[in-house]
Amino acid sequence: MSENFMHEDLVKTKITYPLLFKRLWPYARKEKVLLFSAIFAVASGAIAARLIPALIGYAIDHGVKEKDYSIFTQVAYVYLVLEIFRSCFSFANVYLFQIFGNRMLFHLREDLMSHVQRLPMQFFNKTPTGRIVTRLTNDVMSLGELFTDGVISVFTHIVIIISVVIALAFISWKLTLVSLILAPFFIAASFYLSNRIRDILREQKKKLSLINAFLAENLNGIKVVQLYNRVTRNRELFSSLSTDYRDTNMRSIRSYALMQPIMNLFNAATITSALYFGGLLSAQNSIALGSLVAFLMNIQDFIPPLREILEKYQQFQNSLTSAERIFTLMDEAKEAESELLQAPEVIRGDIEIRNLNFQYESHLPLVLKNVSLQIKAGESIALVGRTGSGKSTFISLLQRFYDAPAKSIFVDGLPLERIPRTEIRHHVGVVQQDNFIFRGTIRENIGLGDPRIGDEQIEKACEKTGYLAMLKRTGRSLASPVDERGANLSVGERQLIAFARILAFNPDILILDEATANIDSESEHVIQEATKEVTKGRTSIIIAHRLSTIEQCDRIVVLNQGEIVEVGSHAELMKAQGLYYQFASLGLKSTLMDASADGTAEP
Amino acid sequence: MQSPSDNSLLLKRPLWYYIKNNPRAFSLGMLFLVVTNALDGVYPLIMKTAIDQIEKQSPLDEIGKTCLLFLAIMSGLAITRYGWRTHFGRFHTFAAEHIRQKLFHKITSLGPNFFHKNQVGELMSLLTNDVQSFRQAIGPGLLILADGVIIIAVVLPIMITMNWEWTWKTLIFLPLVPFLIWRVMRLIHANYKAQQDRFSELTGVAQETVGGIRVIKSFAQEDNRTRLFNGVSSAFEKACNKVARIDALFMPVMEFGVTSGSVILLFIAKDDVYSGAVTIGTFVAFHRYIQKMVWPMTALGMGFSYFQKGYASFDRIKEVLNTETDIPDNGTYVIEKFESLEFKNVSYKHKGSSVYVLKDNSFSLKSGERLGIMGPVGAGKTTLQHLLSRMYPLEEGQILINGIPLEDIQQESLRKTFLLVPQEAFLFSESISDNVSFGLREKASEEEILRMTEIVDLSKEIDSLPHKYDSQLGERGVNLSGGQKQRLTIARGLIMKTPVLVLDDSLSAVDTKTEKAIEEELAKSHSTMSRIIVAHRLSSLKGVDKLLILKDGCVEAWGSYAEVLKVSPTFQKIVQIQGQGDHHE
Repeated sequence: MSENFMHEDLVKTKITYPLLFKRLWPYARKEKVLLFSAIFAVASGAIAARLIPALIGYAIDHGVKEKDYSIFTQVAYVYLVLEIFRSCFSFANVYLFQIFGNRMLFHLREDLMSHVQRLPMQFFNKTPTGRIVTRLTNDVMSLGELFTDGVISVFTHIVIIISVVIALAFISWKLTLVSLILAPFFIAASFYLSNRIRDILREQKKKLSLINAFLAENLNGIKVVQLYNRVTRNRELFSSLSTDYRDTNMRSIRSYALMQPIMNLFNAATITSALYFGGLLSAQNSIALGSLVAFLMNIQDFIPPLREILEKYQQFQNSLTSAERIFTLMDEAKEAESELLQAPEVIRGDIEIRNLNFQYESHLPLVLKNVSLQIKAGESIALVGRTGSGKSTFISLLQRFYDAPAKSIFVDGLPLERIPRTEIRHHVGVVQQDNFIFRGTIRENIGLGDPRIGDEQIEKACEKTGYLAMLKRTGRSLASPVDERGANLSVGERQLIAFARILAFNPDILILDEATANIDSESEHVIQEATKEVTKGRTSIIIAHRLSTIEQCDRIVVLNQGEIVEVGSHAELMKAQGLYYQFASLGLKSTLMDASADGTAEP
Repeated sequence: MQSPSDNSLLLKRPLWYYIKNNPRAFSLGMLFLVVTNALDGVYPLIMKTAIDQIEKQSPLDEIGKTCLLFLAIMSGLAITRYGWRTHFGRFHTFAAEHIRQKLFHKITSLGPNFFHKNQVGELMSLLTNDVQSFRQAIGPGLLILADGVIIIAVVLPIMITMNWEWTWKTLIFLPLVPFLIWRVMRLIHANYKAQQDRFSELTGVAQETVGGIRVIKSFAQEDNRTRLFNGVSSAFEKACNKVARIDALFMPVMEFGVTSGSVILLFIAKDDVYSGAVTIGTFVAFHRYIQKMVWPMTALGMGFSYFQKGYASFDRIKEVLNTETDIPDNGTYVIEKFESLEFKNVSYKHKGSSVYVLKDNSFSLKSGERLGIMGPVGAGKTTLQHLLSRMYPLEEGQILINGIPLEDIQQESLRKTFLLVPQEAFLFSESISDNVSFGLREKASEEEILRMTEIVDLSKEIDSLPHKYDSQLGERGVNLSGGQKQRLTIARGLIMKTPVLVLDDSLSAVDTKTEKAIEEELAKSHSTMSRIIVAHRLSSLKGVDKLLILKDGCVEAWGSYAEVLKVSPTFQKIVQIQGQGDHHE
C-alpha cells in the first residue's frame, strides 16, 4: 500500500472560484428566470425574517406600553402572514436553487458529452474509458454538490447575515458596534480552526480509501490470503488501518467539537454586551424596550448562518478538483478541421493515394512509407500484411480518425482533408474486427438510433446478410434485447450486426477488417455470403485473413513495414513467388495474425 | 476475541453491549449532555430577568450582575458542549471500529462457499456503508434522541411553571412535527434510491458512448448519441429535482411547529401582557422556549429514522457474524513431517446442489512422489485440490494425511504442508518483491527473490521496469500481462518451500524451458519432496511418478504412465493429439 493509490491524474486547467463562475455562466444564462427567482426568494425570505423581530418590538413598544389592544391583534395577524411567507420563501429558495443547479448541470453534461465525442481518437487511445466516464458523471455531480451545497448556501447565508446586520444597525448602530466588536476575533479563530478541520477531513478521506483498497484486494484475493496462511497477519494489518482511521475520526470529532464552544462564546459575548449596553441605553432612554427585544432577537440570528458558512468553507475549500477535471476535459482540442471545406453531394468512390507518408507523432517512426495507390470506383482490394504493417493505420486515415499530410489522399479527386469528417464518415463505412455492441435491442444496434434509418431499411439489411433467418431460427426478433457489450450474442452474430449496419447506412466506400476470431462453421458460411453482399457495387478495401475472401477481390495489395511491396491478382502474385506467395503457402491465417488478433499500431 | 456470552449480547442488544464495554465514554457523554441541556434551558430565564430589570429601570450594576451570570452560563455551555461531543464521539467511533474488525475477522475465516453466496461488492458495502449507518444509529441517532428527550424534560417543566395555559395551547401542534419529519426523511431516502438508479443508467450510457466511440464516429452518430444521453440525463435531473423538492420541505416542516406556536402565543398572550399580569421578559422568554421545542421534536423524528436505518444495517451485519464456518479450525494435529496422503472414497457435491463434482475418488501419494493430474475441463480437478487444502468441507469419504483425517489437522499446519498455487493469478498492489514473499513470515532476502524470478523466467522483464523489484503492481502501478502474473504466482509458491507443492494448471503460462528450470529447482530442493501438478500439456507432466486421470468427477485411471495409457481412453486421446514425446522412461 503506498502513495500510489492517491495519485491524481493530470489537471491542465486550473480553476479558481471567479473562474468557475465565469465558466459556468454560459450554462447558467440559459436558466436566468430560475436563477433570478431563486435570488428573489432568498432576498424576500431574509426581509420577511427581519420583519418579525421588528414586529414584536413594535408590538411591545406600541401595544403594551401604550396599552393599545388593537395593535396587538393586528400584529398577530401580520406575524402569521409573515411566518407563512417566510416558510414559503424558505421552501422556494432551496427548491428553486436546486432545480436551477440541476438544469445547469444538464446543460453542462450535454455540452461535455457532445464535446467528448468530437475529440480525436488519440485522446481515447491515451485515456482510460473509466476516467472519461467519471468526468461525465461523478465529477459533474460533485460540481453540482459544490454548487448547490456550497456556493448557493454560502450566498444565501451571506444575504441573511447582511440583512441581520442592516436590521441591527437600523435599530441602533451604536449597540450593533458594541455587540459585534469581538466578531473579527471570533471569526478569525473559527477560520483558523476550519483550516485545521479541512486538513483532518482530507486525511480522513485518504485513510478511508486506504481501508477500501485493502478490503477490495483482500476480499477478491481471499483464497490466496487463506492458502498462504496470511489471514492472521492481514487481520493485524487491517486492525492497524482500522484503528488508524478511528483515531483520525476522533481527531475530526474533537476539532468539530471545538468549533461549537467558539461559536457559543461568540454568541454569549454578543448577547451579553447587547443586554448590558442595551440596558445602559435604555436607562438613558435612547432605545425603546421593544427595539431592544427586537435587537436581541436579531442578534441571535447572526451566529447560525455564520456557522453554516464556516462549515461549507472547510468542506468545499478543496472541491474545485472536480471542476478542474471537467474543464480540463472541456479544454481538450477537438478534431481539427481545415478552413476550406467542401461537402460533395455524391461520392463515386475513386480513391487515390499519392506518396503518403504517415507517423502518429513526430518522434515516432513512420508507419506508412511512400504509399501510392489508385483504387477505381467499385473495385475491391484485399489488403494483406503482418500485424504492424500499417493496415489499420491506412483505414484510420481514410475515415479521418487521423489526418494524413495534405494532398496525399484524394477521394473523387478531392483532397480528403477538405471533406468534412462527418461527411466522409457518412460515405466510408467500416466493419471492424471487434464491433462495439450497445445495450438495447438488435434493431437499435443496427440503426444506432439514427432517425434517418427506418425500420424497413434495417429489416432489409438483416435479410440480405442472412441474419434475419438466423434470428427466426433461434426464436428471436429484431426487438430482442442485447446485453451490455453484446454479451448474449455470439461472435458471428456481432459480425452480422456490423454487416447489417453497413447495409442500412449504405456507404459508398466500404472498409472491412475481417475478423480473425474463430467462428462456428455455420456462422462462418453465413458471414461469407454476407461479405459478398456488402461488397457488391461499392469500392471495398478488405483487410483479409482468409484465402477465400482474398480470392473474391479484384486486386491484392501486400503491405510490409509500411510499404506496398506487391500489387496484383492472386494468380499473378502466386506466380511472382514473393511475400504473398510465402504468406499463402504457410497458411494465411497463422502468418498474418501473429499472436495478437487486435494488434493495431496506434500508440 | 470475546467469550460466547459476550458475543450473543452483541448480536442481541448491540447498544447495551457497547455501553457495557465503554461505560466511561457513554456515561460522561450523557452527563455532559444533561448538564448542557440544563444550562441551555436556563439561559432564556436569565435573559428574561435582564429584560425585566431593564424594563423596571433597575440599577445598572444589577443588570451587570445578571449579564455576568449569563456569560458564566454560556461559558459553562461551551465546555459541556465540547465534553459531550468528544465523549459521545469516542463511544460511537470505537464501537464502529470494533464491529468493523469483528466483521473482517469473521469474513476472512470463511471459505469459498461463503464468497460464492456473497459478492465482494456486497461485502465491501457491508464493511463500509452498513457499519457507517450502524454508527449513525448508536452515535448521532442515539445522541439526538437523548438530546431531544432531555431538552423536553428540561424545557417543558420550565414552560409549565411559567404558564400552564400558554404551554398546552402553544405546543398543541408540536407532536405532529416528529411524525412529519420521520415521513419526510423516509421520502428522502426512497427518492434518493430512485436517483441512484437513474445515475447508474446515466453512467451506463456514458460508458457505452466512450467505449463505442469508434463506431459512433464511424457512423457520424455523435449528435444522435448526445440526444440519447440527454434523455437519461434529463431523467436523472428529474429524479434529483424530486429529492430537492422533498429536501426543501424539511425546513418548513421543522419550522411549522415554531410558527404555529408563536402565532398562537401572540393571540393568547395579548390579554395577559396587556393587563400586566405577565411581564414582557416572560413573554420574550416564553417565545424563546417555544423555539427551543422545535429541535427536540425534529430530533425525535430524525433519531427514529436513523435508528430504523441503523438497525436494518445491523441485521445484515448480524447475518454475516452469525454465519457458521463450514470449515471449522478445530484440529490439533500438527504435521511434523509429511509422510503420506490418501484419498479414500472421496465424493463431493456443492452445497445445495445434487450433482456430484467428485465421485468416489481414491488414490494416494507418498512422500517424495510426484503426481500428475489430467482430465477435461469440468472433471473436478480444481475441486479436488480445494478439498485437499480444506477450502470446502468434506462430507463423504476421507482424506488422510499421515493417516490422520484432514479435519483433525490444524489448518495452518495443513496449509504449510500443502501449498496450492491456484489457477487464477491474483496479485496484490504491493511491490513485486513483497508479492513474491507474500506467504513468508519474514520478507525473503533479495538474492532469494531474484533467484525465484529467474527460475520462472521473469527477472529480465522485471529488470526493465523503472523501479525493478520495488515496482508497485496494480491499477496505479505496473500492469503485468496475464502470463507474467502467472509466473509471478509460481515464484510466490516456490519460495515457500512447502513439503508438497500443488500447481493447479499454473504451468500453462510458461514455456518448456521454464518448465524445466522449475523442475530442476524442485528436484534439488530438500524441503519440497512431493508435488501434485494439474496440467493440460503432457510436457508439464514430464517425470511424474504417477498419473491420475479424472473424468466427470471419477478416477478413470491411476498409476504409472504405462498403466494409465493402457486403461484410460481420455489419456490415450491426449497422447494421440499431443504426441508421444519423451515421457515414458
